[in-house]
Amino acid sequence: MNEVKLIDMLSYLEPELLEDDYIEKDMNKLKNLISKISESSSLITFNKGLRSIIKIITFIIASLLVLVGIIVIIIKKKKPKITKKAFNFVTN
Amino acid sequence: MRVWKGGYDLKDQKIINLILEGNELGFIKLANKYEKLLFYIAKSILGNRIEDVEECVNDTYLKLWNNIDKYDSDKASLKTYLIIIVRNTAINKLRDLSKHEKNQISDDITDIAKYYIDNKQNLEKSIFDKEDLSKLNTLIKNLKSVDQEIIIRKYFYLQSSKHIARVMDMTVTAVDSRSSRTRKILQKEFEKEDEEVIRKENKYE
Repeated sequence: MNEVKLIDMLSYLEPELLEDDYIEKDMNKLKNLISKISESSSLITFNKGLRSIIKIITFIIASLLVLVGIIVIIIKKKKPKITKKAFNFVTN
Repeated sequence: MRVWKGGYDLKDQKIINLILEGNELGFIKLANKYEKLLFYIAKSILGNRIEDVEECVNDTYLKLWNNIDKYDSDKASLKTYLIIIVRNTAINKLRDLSKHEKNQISDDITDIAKYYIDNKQNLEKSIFDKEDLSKLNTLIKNLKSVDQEIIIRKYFYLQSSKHIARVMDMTVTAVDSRSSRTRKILQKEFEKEDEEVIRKENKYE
């Protein structure tokens, strides 16, 4: 028997040989693969979201610290002036 | 291997009864249950030609509608019956397509599918010796389950070695070598028989 005839004859498999769930197995495997990919991609997006929130919080804290620093410097610079004024007021 | 023992699937029986009555609900139920499976099989043969895949699945429903009285639930499940129809419809469709798009057709189909394009004989019209067919089926049934699955996937569902390797957790080389070895075994078994026939004929002469 040549290969050509064999390939042709393989089109006529008995139904019994086709009752297996090969295709359903494939479809389930693909479904699982897709859900795994979507799960991992949602995990990646969650991580990205978390990272950006942390960045924003860090930025706010840093800017608050800078603001507090500036206020402290201003107060420190203004303090001697106030004391001088007070000193002059008292001496006069 | 799961063996079909007759029409015990009540849902399928209901679908068949509805179709026999000419009730459209039968087709809605049929599509709900089997459409994904039919699309998957047609797509693995026709490649990414979505319109043709859809047409092929619709043709399958039409063929079932026209031949529902020939369906025998003792011989095969409705699922298997549909699988056989959609597979043969897809191959015939591929042949029709090859007439129109000769150069593009071979991009995303397997070598076995290409063979079917080159061999123009319509699948439903092929005639083989009943004894040969029965012998081939027995030989396949007696193969190791892995080899049996590879042969059915490759030659019946026309899946590529790459796809088979992925779904069966094997390497492409292993799939190819196993299928080629099994094919040789099957060929040898038939050659043995041919030789015996020739020997017997020579003896009587």
